Amino acid sequence: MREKLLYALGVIAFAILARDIFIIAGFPPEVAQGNAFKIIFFHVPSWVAAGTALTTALLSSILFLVTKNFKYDATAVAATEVGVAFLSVGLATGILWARPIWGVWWVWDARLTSALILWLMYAGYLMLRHAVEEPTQRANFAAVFSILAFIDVPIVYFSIRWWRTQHPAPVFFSSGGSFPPDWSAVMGWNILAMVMLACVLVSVRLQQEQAQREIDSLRRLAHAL
Amino acid sequence: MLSNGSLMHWTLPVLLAAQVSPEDVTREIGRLQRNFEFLSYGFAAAWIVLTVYVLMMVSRERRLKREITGLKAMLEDRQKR
Amino acid sequence: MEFLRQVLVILAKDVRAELRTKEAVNAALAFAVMILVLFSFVFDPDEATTKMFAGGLLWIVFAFAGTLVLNRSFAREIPNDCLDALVAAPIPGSALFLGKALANYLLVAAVELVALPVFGILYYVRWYERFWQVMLVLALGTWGVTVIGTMFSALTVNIRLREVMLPMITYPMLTPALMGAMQLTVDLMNGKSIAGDATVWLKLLVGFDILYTAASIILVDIVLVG
Repeated sequence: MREKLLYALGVIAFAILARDIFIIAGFPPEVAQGNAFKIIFFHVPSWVAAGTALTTALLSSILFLVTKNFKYDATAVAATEVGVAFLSVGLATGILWARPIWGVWWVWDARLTSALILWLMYAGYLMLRHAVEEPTQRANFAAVFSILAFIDVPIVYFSIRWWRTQHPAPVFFSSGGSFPPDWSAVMGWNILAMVMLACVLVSVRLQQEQAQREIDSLRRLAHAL
Repeated sequence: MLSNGSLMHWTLPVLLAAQVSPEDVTREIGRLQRNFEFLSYGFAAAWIVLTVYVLMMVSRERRLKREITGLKAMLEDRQKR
Repeated sequence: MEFLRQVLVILAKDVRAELRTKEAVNAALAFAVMILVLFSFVFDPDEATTKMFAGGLLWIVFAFAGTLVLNRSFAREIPNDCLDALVAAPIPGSALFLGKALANYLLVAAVELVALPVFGILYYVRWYERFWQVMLVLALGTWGVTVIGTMFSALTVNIRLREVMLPMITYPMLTPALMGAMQLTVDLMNGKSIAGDATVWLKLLVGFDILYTAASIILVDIVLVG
């Protein structure tokens, strides 16, 4: 039942995203940037989803260290992995937006560089987990690393901001942006759909992690027999 | 001085309009279309990354299910003996 | 007071062990000089533009060479199960961590202090003009490198691919500290004092050091004991 509900939510999220593509394609081009501007409809929601996932990962890492309940460890991996996937979407869409607007694929701008460092750090987290064999040790190490990595996020961001910045300031939620209200509505739907998708993926990944633990215990049982 | 300033004021748009040739218009349309190309690339990239991740999940799900059934069968087999 | 004594015991033990073999320090020093030589093929050291960013190169050298020392820090305790004995010893994990971090700090700083004049000679940079400011940046930047490096050295000591994992997870997290140190060093070696906008980098370095020292001391028991 729970599984079916999850898949249903995933399908709904995909359907919203697919529907919005057609709506977005129908919008008139933005005044200054033309159609490329509309990449923002996928770019920003994927960042929101990644941020949500990685914050969840931090919270479950802390909860694991406090409670030593492996459920939270599994949540932390699931959320980090999904977070890295959405970070990749954010980076890919950002690069493809930068090419027509800035004329280059990549600029060493504050947000881009911090995003890349963030990606590298969390990819390091996944590799670290892969390299530790013993489950308790793996969970402890991963939780510690996750906390240390999250501390770095604001430091990295501000340091690179002082270094240089070129990224456009967020155009919505602030007054005076060139963002019509019906565009905001679509953006809202896209953000909702992406976050929903992230939640579904995290839950599915969580079930897989539990299945993996079941396999491990079955293996131990097989050894014992 | 004043008349000179007002002269500038009304001649400027006219001059600017005169500078826009049909080539400029086609170039501008081309630029917008090119942007449309990048819009589709952007969306495609987002979908491809997500699809690849989902496919990775599906393949892992299959592997896990296979391992579980294999192990369970093996355990039952051993318990019978 | 007792805590301080425990830290000093660990510090003395680690420095003594390293000075008897000198394996990590020698390797780091040779590696540092080698990178400096290799860089000279990429950037012509005689050109004025190279002097503009030579200070930044220095930190790449320090970070890479430092990893060699840091890698050995906990790995040295693996034979004869010394690490288990250290963890079981009646001292808090934070004392063990601080002692090891300070020992690494001294060793990495020693490597840097030898590499710095060599760098000055090879690249003809007048690094000694603002000697004490350079030393301050060196002291702060190196502590950032060692505190994170020691923490991750403890984290990676028992795992597969230790030598690969340590730099993989250390460098991304070090980026802000390295960036601050690079900015300041480039300025100093171009004859500019730390003033005005540049002080923000100094604050960044201090903040980074304090934050990660505190976080490591809090979290190190989990890594060492579980």
